[in-house]
Amino acid sequence: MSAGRIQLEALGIALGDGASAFTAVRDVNAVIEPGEFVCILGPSGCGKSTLLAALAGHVAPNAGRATLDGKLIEGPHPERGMVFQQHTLLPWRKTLDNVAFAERYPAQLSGGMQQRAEIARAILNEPRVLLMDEPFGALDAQTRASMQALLLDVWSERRPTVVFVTHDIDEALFLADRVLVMSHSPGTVLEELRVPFARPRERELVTEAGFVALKRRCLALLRYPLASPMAASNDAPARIDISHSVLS
Amino acid sequence: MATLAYSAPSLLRSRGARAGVQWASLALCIALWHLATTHRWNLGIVTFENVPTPADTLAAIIDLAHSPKLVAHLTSSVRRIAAGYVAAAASGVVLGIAIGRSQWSRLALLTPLEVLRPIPAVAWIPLAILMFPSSEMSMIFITFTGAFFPILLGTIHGVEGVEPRLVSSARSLGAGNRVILREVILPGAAPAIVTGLAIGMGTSWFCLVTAEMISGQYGIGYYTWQSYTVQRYPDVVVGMLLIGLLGMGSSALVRIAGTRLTPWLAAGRIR
Repeated sequence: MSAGRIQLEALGIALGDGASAFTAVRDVNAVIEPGEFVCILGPSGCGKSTLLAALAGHVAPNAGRATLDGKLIEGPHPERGMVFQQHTLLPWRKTLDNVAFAERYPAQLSGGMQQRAEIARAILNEPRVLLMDEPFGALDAQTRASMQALLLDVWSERRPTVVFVTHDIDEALFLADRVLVMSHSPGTVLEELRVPFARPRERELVTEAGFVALKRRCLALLRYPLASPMAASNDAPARIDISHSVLS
Repeated sequence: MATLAYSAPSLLRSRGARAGVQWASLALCIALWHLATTHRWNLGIVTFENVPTPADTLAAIIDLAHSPKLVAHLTSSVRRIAAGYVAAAASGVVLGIAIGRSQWSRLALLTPLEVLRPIPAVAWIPLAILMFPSSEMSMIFITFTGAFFPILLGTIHGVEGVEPRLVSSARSLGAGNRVILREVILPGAAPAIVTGLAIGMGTSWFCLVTAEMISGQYGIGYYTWQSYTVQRYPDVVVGMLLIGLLGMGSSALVRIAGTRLTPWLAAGRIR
């Protein structure tokens, strides 16, 4: 597998036409190294999915540029595999025996199995980059935890570059080498957090002091979405919305 | 689906009971027809004084069944319907996909088609006769107009309803336009296309009498209209019943074929 280095330069994305047009993503600069696992963390509607869609080539940016290994991203390509929250398996096609379960239509599979098949399908192309848009967002907590472990296994074997969008802080910190925290719309990168924990990671990690400290930082950043990164305090805010976060 | 079945009255749980209700409803209709015509009900706005009774109609059915012309009537009509329907299915699905997929086709094609759509089959008779040198072709054309629009609209509706994420995802997996059409658009639109095809089959029969007004000697529609002009009213009812039954039967065949072609829909309901 060749490199997989993603570079975003002053990337901006506008959605909608005419009067309903708005800026979804503004001035995003980032470099994602080959084989790196990066999570994009942000509140609902911050433009993180739009940013991922631009990396997939499903949406064209209107400012700046996005490149993969120096080549401009201009449309969808199997070298950039995409995994969605709601599976996009073709409802009329049966899963293959060797994707780990018997031949069934997608509607006959559980949510976790649907996402496993979705990921397996994307990986069959041996993509340099795996783009994941809240792939476990619709799963229950237990299934989600086991899918995260499965994803890390698959990733450590093949080491594609992964860009993983989520609004779940625990998920981002458990999975990533680095977390890009995005602000409210128009979305831009508020802060980059390095996640230094050793791999392979165990579930107990989420209760360790270092993990909790990083989590507080994320909560603060997400709690003050309009404030500058400097203004965001290290203290936990008085009112914390942890409804999206999963403690398992 | 399961919750619906559970909330149904217990009386209707058995298959036999449900069939019983259906047959009883048919029997009641025939009984009412019998009462209205034998007692020559006159309800002011509608009168049954000159309507054939079920017994007269049954006698006419037996007559027709023994007539050597029955097969000729049936084959003429079925052949016309089949030709018009196949042409309508092919053109309706192809144009529907084009209109559903491409802004250009939509802008260029949809307006004239919307103008043509409300024109009833009977209004096409003069032009059909002028346009087609053979009366057979003009009749096929009339049944075509009946079937075409439901199929076209069903296909457009189905193509527009295909989940955009499925298309995006297929592109990310490396699918080109042709593969997307075959693997994503067509199967995704299939349920709506099948509905359009089943309705189109019914409306094609709907236009049969109109079409066969042009006919010289054979066809169920011709038989129905001819019986009226020579005042054999029981035969008119026989013709009407034949058209109704054949239309219902052929629509059901289309639905059964459609269910066979879309097995994943049933699979989704089981879970």
